[in-house]
Amino acid sequence: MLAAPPAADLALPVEPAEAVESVTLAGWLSDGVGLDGFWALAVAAAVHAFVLLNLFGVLPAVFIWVERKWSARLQDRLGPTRVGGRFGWLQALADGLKLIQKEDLVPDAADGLLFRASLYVPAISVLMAFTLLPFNDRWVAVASDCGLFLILAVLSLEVVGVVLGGYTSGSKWSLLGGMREAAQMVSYEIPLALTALVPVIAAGSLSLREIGVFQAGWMFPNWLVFANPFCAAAFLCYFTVAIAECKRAPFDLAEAESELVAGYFTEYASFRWSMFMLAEYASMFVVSLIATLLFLGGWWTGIAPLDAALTGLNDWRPDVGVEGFGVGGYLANVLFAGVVCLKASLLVTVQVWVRWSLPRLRIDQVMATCLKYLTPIACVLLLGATLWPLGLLATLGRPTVFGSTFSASPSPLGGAIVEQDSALPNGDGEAGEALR
Amino acid sequence: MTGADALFGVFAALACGGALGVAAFRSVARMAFSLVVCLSAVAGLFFLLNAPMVGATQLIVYVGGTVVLLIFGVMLTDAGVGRRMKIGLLETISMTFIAIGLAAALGWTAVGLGRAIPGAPVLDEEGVEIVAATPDTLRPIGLKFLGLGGESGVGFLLPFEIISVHLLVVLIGAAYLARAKRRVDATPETPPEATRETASDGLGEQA
Amino acid sequence: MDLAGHLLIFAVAAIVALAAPLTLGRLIRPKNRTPDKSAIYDCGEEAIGSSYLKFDLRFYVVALLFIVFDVELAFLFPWAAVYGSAIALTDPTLSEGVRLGLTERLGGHTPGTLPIEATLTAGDATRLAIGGALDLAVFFGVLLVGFAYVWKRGDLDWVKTVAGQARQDALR
Repeated sequence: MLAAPPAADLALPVEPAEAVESVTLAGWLSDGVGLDGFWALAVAAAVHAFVLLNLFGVLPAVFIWVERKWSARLQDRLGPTRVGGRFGWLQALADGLKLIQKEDLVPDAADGLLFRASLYVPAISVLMAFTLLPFNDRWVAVASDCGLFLILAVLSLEVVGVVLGGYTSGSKWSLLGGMREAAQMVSYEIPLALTALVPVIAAGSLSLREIGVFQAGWMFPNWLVFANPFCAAAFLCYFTVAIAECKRAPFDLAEAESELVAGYFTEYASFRWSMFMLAEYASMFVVSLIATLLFLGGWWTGIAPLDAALTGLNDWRPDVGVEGFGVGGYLANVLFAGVVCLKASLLVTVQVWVRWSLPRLRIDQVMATCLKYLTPIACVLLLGATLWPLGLLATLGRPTVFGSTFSASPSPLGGAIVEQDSALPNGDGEAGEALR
Repeated sequence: MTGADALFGVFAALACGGALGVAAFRSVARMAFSLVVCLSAVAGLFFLLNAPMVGATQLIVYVGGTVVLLIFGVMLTDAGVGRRMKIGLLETISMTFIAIGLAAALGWTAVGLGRAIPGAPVLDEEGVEIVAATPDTLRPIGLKFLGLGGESGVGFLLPFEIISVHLLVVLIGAAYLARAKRRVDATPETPPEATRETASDGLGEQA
Repeated sequence: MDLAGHLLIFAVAAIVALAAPLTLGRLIRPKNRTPDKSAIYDCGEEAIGSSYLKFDLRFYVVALLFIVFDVELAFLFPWAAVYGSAIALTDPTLSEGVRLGLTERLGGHTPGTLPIEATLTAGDATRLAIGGALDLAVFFGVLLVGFAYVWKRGDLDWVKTVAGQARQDALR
């Protein structure tokens, strides 16, 4: 029988202890339902996959509608108005249904097998990234201790599909698009990772869940974007790079319609075309959600009493006939997940806004932005964030300006660390044993 | 057979299939795709061994970086996807021998190692897992980079710094080689999106 | 095993979710290929020449340089986690229990397994943090030297401008 995933029970709120027990789906399946360890894990993974797959499908539909509606407003048009009532909110679904019944064309010049296979890669990479995204302190499919690094690694697979798809199409436009995409994505990965490291230094963890829990309490100064000046700059830098990583305007050189027709997906028709779009909109959401977790307080509302009230819901456990199921805790989880999705969606909306406001850069400008501006800036930010706490230690005597989050009085919100009962562990230890 | 064995089987099959694909396909693009499958499956094996750090590095450096570079190299030539690689009989035979030898050496090592997996699950007397995995594999690595921990007590501080010097050499060497080739390749054929390319390469030529 | 299983099942789920509508579409979509439809798109004209052109090598140079940075980054991630954990411990105002918890986090121990005597003091943590910062300064500094070299050589210039060329000639 498998124990719960290790990181899952690390950072739960300390009080009230009996109200919040760490239950993973796999653990519940094996303990409560009595499934064999492996099958419990497999069923849990399948359930996670099903839930997140729905999110993966619904989000692009929503964001495509938002983009069409809002770009229309920015250009003094109405946008979709008919499908699904006055606001055309079913437009994306109608588009999808239309695309399914379109003829499936593979050009003769293309390598048919790779042409078909490569478009699965972006979708696989983005859906795998959902595996590691926490939506609140208990809803995460896999709570890994190096979640952030894993997400960046998984997201970096996306470029393979785009480049191979462009190369195997056999079209000039696709080839040029794929080429630009490869150069752009490989370069922009560097500042993306460097800027993501800045809040990691402030929080001292690569687990997105721990970073989220770390930001509990008041918005200022507990959100990491306010932790130090370098974090604030890193947020702006990260967001710029994230837009480029999603191949969105003004960095959408790979699909620049004014010069390359449609870039790497010129030859893709029917539903195959929309698979690239699905992955693009989903990855917009993923990078925004990472930005939210790293900088903007994760699932917390930023208003300490409100967060305390929401966490307090965990105590509300009316008897509904299911043993071990807390209605209040579930409600709190839903609300926190709603908060984090709302924040991420707002960031996606900003990406849409940027796309329809700024003109496209030239390829040399895109590359120079990364090579000569963003990468050096990110390096400086990383070094600055490294030296900042040491400088504060020398001047103020503590590593943060406003006092440590950890030294705050133990509240139901908890810190990222479970406070240990000093009397509990024993053994004849010596100083330094901790680091062996 | 435990669940971990089943997962191992899937990943190992994918890795072997990918590797065979690399050897069997004659189109470079398909080889690259097989390589992606193979390397990703190897990353999966690392995840299975409770080494998420290594697995993620495998993904970000090899799949997201090196393979893209490889495809890049193919794209730089004017060979299309239709171009098939021709491999002579002599090459096939010699490579088969090398491959068999390598497989034998690796297989012998693997059998000799047994199933000593670091951070492996702890089993009680009935073979039920009571501790799933090492709780944290990340910070022990980081601590070793800071010169702490390990058998000797000094960690990997020296290797860590040597790596940076090594990478510096790689960086400069790569830049130098690429530039030298480019000077030879200075063909009048400019890519369609180059704005204005001058024949000389400026600083590099002077240096 | 948890992670590997999840990633595998998610990959399979993505493939199934995308293949399903394609298979469904196979039943209802028309199949009506003509030579014109299966030709590549070239703005309505007949495509001339091969689609595969020789590219400028600078695409490759940039990619090559950044792979080196990629390798470097992989080492920075565990460093950043440890450095951040050590920094959190340098605060002298922490309570004993929190300090023990943070020490366990820094060492990668399961919570509640370390004896109280193993707790790191603020002074120890500060020395560790300074060591970590120096570590990074050397590691990163060496790489930045390489970055500066490449920049100076002009490998990062995407377009060699006419003006830049004139400057070169003047120097010569």
